[in-house]
Amino acid sequence: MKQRRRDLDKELEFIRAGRTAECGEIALSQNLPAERILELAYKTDLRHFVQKGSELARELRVARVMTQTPNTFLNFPVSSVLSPRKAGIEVEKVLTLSEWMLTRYRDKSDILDAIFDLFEQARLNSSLRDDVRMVADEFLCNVLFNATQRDGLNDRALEESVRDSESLKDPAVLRAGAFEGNFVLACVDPYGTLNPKYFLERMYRCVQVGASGAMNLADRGTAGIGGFMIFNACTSLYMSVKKGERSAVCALFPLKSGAKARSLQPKNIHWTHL
Amino acid sequence: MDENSDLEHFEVAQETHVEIDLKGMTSVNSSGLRKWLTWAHAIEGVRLVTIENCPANFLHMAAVLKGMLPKHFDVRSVTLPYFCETCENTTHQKLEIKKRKAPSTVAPSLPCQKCKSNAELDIDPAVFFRFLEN
Repeated sequence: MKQRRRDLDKELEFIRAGRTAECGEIALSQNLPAERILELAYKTDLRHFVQKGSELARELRVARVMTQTPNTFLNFPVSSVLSPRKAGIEVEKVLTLSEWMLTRYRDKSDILDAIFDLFEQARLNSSLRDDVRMVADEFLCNVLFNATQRDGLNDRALEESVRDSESLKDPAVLRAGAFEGNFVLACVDPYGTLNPKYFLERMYRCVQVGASGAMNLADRGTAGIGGFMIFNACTSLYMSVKKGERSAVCALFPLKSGAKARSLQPKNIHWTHL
Repeated sequence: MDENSDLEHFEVAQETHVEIDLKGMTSVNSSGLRKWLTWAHAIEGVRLVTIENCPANFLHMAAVLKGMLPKHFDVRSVTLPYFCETCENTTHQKLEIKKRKAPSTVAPSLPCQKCKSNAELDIDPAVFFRFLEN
């Protein structure tokens, strides 16, 4: 399955993510389609795919925060994504528009309503509102139904998964932030069961075989539909996991564009697994 | 449309024609989509399922994820979004789909419902109408 490096050289450039070789590399590309980025993320060992464009410098800095100071990303995801040079507790507070705690299933609809209200009150882009709400829904479903299961795999039937009484042993946090034309949604859970490679594989398979095909193949765990919906809606997807301790997943959206302009933006993927 | 959508209780398997109006459907998540897919394929005996007022967010997914609209599903009308760059509001407009074919012309703009500036069509027709091919 692994693609050979010389084949990749035709469409990717490589730069180091840190001072040492252990930090890995960042793959740079120009206008690669979303499906190709997803395929490369799944089929190679590379963990950072950054497309050239107006967000290049920020995306490279985020990759460096994720590899060089992973705890900063796990603790302060909003500032790590929006202002990676200044990521930390102070900037996290300044850039966070709202924060919600998820402790049980019933919190989900309240949080989704609050996101709707946030967009109304702050008079934010109404075209973005529905995408952000959908991504938040997927993030919260992943925490409720997958993160709490062994290895993050949920082999329960949907009907069994959805219980009003479903509570988390430890709460998860969802944050929304905005800065310099970007909006970020960050979800942090205290389980650390997310497997980014598995998540990418399911998403890629979902694109390849379609939604119903992916469902038929998903004998256990997710079919990848939710992951693909997240990736399709945002311009950058970031996943960082400290196994058994914490997972942080973020989705970035340009704040001012309509849905058509957003869909034309090149996509970036970053993941780390400690 | 989410994990609480009660689709399996629509007992329509004995019908020959079912009409669905999706007006008012504001969001869809993957659990809802799974329920939709299961239901859509469970009623394969129904000769024709027509859908009115299908929202753009649902069709965006149908364009890229094959299988969401089986062959016996016929989308008769869609709700197109128009984005106003002046006030960042989205105005929606219904469009009829005839004979399962992408319309030859779609209005590229209309007046914004909120500020009356020019709101532009917020989909790429070449991509959006792919749901008619799946």
